[in-house]
Amino acid sequence: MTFLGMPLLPSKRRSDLPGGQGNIIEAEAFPEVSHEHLSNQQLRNNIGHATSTIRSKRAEVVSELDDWEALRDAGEATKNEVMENLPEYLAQFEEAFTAAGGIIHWARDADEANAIVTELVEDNAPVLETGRREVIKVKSMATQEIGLNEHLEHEGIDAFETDLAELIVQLGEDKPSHILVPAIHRNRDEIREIFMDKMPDAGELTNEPAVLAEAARRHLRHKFLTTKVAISGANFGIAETGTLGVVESEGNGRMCLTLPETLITVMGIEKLLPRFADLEVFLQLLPRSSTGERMNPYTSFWTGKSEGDGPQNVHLVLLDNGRTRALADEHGRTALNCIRCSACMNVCPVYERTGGHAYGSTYPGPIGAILSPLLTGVEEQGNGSLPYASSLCGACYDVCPVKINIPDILVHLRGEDVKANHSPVSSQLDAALTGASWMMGDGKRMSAAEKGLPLAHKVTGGEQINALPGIAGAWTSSRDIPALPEKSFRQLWAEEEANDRDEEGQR
Amino acid sequence: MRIALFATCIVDAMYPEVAQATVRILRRLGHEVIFPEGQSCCGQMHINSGKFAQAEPVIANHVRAFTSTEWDVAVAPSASCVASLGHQQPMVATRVGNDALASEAAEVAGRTYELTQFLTDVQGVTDAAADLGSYFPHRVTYHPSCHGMRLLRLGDRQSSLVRSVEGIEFVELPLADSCCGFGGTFSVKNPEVSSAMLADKVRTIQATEADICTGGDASCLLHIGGGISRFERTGGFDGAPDVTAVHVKETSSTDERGHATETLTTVVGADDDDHLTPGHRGTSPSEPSRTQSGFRVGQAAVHLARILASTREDPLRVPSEGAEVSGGSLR
Amino acid sequence: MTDTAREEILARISEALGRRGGGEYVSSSPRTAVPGTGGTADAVSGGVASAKPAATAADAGYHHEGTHTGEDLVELLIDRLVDYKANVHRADGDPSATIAELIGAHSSVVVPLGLDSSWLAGYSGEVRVDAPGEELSVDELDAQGAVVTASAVAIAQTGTIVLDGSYECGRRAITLVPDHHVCIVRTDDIVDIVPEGIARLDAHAPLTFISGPSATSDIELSRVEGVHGPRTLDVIILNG
Repeated sequence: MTFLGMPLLPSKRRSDLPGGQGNIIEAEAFPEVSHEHLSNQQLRNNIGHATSTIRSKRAEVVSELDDWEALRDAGEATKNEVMENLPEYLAQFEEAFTAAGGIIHWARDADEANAIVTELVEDNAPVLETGRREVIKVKSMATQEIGLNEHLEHEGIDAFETDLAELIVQLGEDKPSHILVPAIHRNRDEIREIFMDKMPDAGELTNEPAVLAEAARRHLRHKFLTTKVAISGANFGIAETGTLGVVESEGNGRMCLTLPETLITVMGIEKLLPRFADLEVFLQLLPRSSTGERMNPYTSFWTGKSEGDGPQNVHLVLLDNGRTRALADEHGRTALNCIRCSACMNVCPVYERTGGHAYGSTYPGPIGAILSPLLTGVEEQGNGSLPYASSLCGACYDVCPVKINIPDILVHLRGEDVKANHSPVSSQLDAALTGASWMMGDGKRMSAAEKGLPLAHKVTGGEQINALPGIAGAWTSSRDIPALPEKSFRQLWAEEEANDRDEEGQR
Repeated sequence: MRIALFATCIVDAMYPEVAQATVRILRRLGHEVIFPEGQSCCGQMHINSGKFAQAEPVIANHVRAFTSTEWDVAVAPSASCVASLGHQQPMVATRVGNDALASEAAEVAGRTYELTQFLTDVQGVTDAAADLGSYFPHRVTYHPSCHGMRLLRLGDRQSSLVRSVEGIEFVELPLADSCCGFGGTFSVKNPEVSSAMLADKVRTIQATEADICTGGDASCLLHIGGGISRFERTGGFDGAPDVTAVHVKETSSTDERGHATETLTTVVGADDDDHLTPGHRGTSPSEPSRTQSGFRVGQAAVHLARILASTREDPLRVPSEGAEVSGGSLR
Repeated sequence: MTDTAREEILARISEALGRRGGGEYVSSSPRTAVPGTGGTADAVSGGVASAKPAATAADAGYHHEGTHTGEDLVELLIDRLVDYKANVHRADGDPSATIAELIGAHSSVVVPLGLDSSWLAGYSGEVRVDAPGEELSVDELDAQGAVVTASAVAIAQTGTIVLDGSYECGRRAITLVPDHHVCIVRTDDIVDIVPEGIARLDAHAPLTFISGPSATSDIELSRVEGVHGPRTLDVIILNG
């Protein structure tokens, strides 16, 4: 019998650790937020096209490895090891990174991280003729999460996103809707329009991806070669050696990590790996799960500063922002094992139809539906509704490279939401489930209820049911219901048994 | 063997024919079937709604019903409910602090099989025509339920058995592994997303031009059938915007030996050469129900137990033969 | 302020893990890797994970060595490089003719200090040597038509070349700013799979893994080669 690794310890509520802030909060309940996105045919086309492309690419490169499942097991075990020993690994990392000439800053939440980065930029980036400072950025989920760009803007600092998709989002004054391909909701025609509109020097462009990529290259080239401060995230931090790594495709990451004088990296405390050798697992899991490539074009590793090579002023901001709160949830903490590959959203039937904006968070899709409420608590605005944004089909768990059991954590968080936000009668559905629990808690009561079937059958005229009021109307909005049978199986069985006994008796 | 039938609540109350078919199949193999009368439900509806405390009495009832009777194995015509027994019941019992119930539930679950799991793994049935006398000379497509695929790992057990039915014309369902959008209370908590998923599922079923869509879970089939019925009646869903990611392309259908017989329809997304432009629906049909060549009236969903139970002597009739269809389900 | 934040975050983690009061987790300090060994199997087999049944990375059943050798290995690398749009050439002993052909059209190229100077023998343009203390400025690098370097390791299965900042590979900027990278891979430096590649590397060096030329999949998830990094990658596989 399958038993898929659900943690078995009873849930203990630790004193509530502070939740995270920033772009990880769904403003309203998911059904409300998703409503407008569901009717957008263009969005559906763009996402359907992109996710079906990436799904088949991923499947192809994963099938090339006959040890894929063993790699997933190793990835899971390694991340579990990190979480269980996080204080030790953080201390080890800090020591090694510092010894290599890097400077570490700790940030309890988004505000603190933003303040630290602002101060570092002010110390290291010159004020330009415009009266403002400039930094270049390589795509980073952590800085999206804390809303760094918006904060910097208020502080007189312009942050230029250099990843093509982030650039599309930034120029389009839009929000990311996918963690790998933030502009997945845009197609090439829309991107062309944004570029024509917002890149004054771009000239006439076609909608060819190669032409659009070339436009981005020309647009950013000067910034890369002249900007003094860069801000990055990190895919991995190696505790053993103090090494940081960024996995990318375009070379914008290399530009940011190599050419500026100052490099500021913002990384969640959960991003560590114990050993450099663990990369032998994660550099196989991540690219294949993420872009569906055997290896992404560029991966950079740096350890503090290297004399004569790259930035000589190297900083790292280690970010909590609700991660410790998630860690305290022993049934949910494996969500922190996420390596941000985005495979789960690429296979999710809900994400495919609502798009990423419906999740209200930097982290959309299945992982977002668990991570956002884990970081903030289910009490935070609409985040308690996110765990219900799934049919529990399980496709996400199957593709997760570190085997995060997302469906189980969704169910667990529904339980947390019920505890925090529902009474037995707080909705029609809650009331109905309460009644069903009483009825189904005893086969006799179920049997008694089913004795009403002949009457119900009669009342409905033996016809199928096409419309019902109240919560059941949510069902009949798009589904008919078969006519109720005249008798339940239980009744038919009892009658058959009685007949058999009669026949026995007559013999 | 003495087999305890776990009918499941939805089959018991909505689809008694499915339980009857299951009993016929098991008896055909020479087994004695009993029906533990105390049974009601696996508790999944409550568990998946996060109501662990309310699930506990339901789980306790299931355990009580089954441990109070002598049986060798239990069989249920549902992958989802069987998965819930093994996967969820012990977990929830533990979570509410009832370790004794957890181990009892695990014990019951350990001896409970989904129907095709039992037929294939325990009985070694590989050819339904030869071993069960199954006969169903109709065009059939098959939707694998998510929990059958991903929790029980049924693989091709169900589809192989259905393919091996005498006379059947098996048509591959495009994008078969996509969820139909049921998801228990998901369908009423997020009705619009659920409907959007269902709409695409129904579109692919329509495209197969099959008479029947079968599967191993009555809950998914209730949902799919309800969608088929609504689609046929009204040409769309009020509850879901008329938006789709299903694009009609070519795939092939196969006969019972797995040979390609003809070329059909449907794939999701668009190819690189026909990307979609703003304000234009591209290859996506705006009114697929009315414009697709595959549109077909009179399709119905039916549980695979009834197809396996169908014989030459006592065949299951289809709508074109005058069978009653109600809410998209074959009665 | 930061110190306070550090202490508070570490305290939160301990609380989250139940180490205060509850103490469910039996945990020891992670064993530091032995310097110079690359710190692999030894460092993980004991200590940290010993309380858990799950395998740690090094114990797990994935492949640590590939199966390709000799010409098969080279062919695999070539196949994978070509698949990701690198141009591949082969040279036996002396790559200078191949290099000259590839960079002949550029008037000036940059090379790292340690590159075998005989490799540029067939090239008639200007060769700028980037050396410690005599680094080319970013603008100078931008004016170079190409960069020619060696490499540290090549991973055949993924078509990946690794540069490690050595005198032969150069500092990172020189292989980034010029638009054309000619990279020499010695057959001795080719390994089959990723774990073999990682095992040959020193974590403390600035490392750059290159798999094909710069690319993006950001527009409709269709891969397009050529964005910010060098848009042309020529790989010369050198026997020996």
